[in-house]
Amino acid sequence: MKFSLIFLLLALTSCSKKEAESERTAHSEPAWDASFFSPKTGEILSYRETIESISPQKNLPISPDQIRKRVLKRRQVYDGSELIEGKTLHRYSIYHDGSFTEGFLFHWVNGFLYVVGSFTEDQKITFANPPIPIAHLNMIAGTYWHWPPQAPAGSGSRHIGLEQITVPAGTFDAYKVSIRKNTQGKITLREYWFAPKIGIVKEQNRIYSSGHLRVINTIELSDRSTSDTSDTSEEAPSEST
Amino acid sequence: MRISLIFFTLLMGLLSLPARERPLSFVSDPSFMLPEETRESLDLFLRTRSHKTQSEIFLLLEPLPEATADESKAILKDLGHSWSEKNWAIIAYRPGQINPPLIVAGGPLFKEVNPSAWEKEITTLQDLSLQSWQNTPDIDFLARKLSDSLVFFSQFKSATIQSLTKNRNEEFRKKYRSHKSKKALILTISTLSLLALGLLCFLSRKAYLAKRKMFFPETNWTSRLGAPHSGGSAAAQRFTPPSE
Repeated sequence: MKFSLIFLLLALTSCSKKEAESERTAHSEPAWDASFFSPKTGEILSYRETIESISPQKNLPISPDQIRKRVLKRRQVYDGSELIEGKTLHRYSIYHDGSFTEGFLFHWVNGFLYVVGSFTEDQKITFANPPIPIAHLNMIAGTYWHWPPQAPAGSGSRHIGLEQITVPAGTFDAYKVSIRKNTQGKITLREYWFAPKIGIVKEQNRIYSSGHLRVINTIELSDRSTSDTSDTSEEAPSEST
Repeated sequence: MRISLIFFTLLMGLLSLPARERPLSFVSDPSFMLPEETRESLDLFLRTRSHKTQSEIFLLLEPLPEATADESKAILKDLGHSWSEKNWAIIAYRPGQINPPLIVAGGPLFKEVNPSAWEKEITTLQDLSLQSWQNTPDIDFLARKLSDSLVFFSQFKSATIQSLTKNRNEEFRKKYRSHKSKKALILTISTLSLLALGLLCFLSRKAYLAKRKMFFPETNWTSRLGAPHSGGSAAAQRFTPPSE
């Protein structure tokens, strides 16, 4: 009797693991619209990332030598999709100068592209609550995405419009989205350009705290390739997307 | 509020502009306050925005005669109306001034836009432009962000996507909760199983002890001379099964 209970306990735990594994393997949910968000497994987006910052103790006036500038090579690799908790999530791994730094899970549903979570190198997943909207199939200039719902007025995403933007990888027609976040005296201005079929081609974050600009972080798309042909970059789309 | 106070107290001496033609460039910078590259890039940006949207931004970086804030605003408003029929904004800044740049806007948009929302927008941008790493306001940043704001406000749609996002958030919260409850269920079952196991062990031990046969030694006491007075006795112990 004593041993049968132990067996029961062991069986219970092994079942829950198997269920979780089976959830993460198969994926059959079709892509919502292949023309807008259609990453290919092994696709690599290479970015040039520039981080300019001053230490929190520094106050105005700032001399140029007090500004710390770092330039990094950022690679964003599409690892493919998988079914997690009944949803087809798209995995992107981010590498800085060749080292894995973090991964993101995207969900493409009902015309919306969301960042729903992140994962670490040992595949530990953390879900964002709430998920963050990145793009929409029918992005209309002047639309305001108020998120999260409990955020103070002024926070959220603003869709500015479709613009032609030139980055080292080429010239793209991209939707510009501007996000302003104000939390306890720390203001974050984020703006990014999202090109359909490609993803984010440029992004700039400005972080203000204690009444000063502290960090300017800029990423620009420098190359597009696949893991099989990592040295060949694709041309930028010439027609408006 | 802070910015308003600054306008009314410190903006003495900014602008007093006679009527003048619409400038050829969107960036009027006769004193070369901005680096050439920045000036050209900004002008191109504002020109593109002017062609592709219903919004125009004019930048006046000029040392101008003194005037009160109200007078300056009135003059700039007249200029703006004479320069553009679109939605427009003028950023006026005298090189060297410590106050934030003056911003005046107008156009069809302002018949509909909530004035307090726009005022708040401008105040935020002015404030952020002063937080740059230079000793002067970040004019390039201000002009680009103001242009974004003007484009956004002029096309502002009701946030219909918000409801979709909300639904989506609720859906995820439910999923998250169910995920958590599954974990809690497994934990509860495990705890209960362990408790049941402990109880079973205790009961089976008790039953075993109740049924156990005990063997006790039989002791025969032999009297010894003088024993009642000096104490002591001689005992012989034999271990045998209990007598029936």
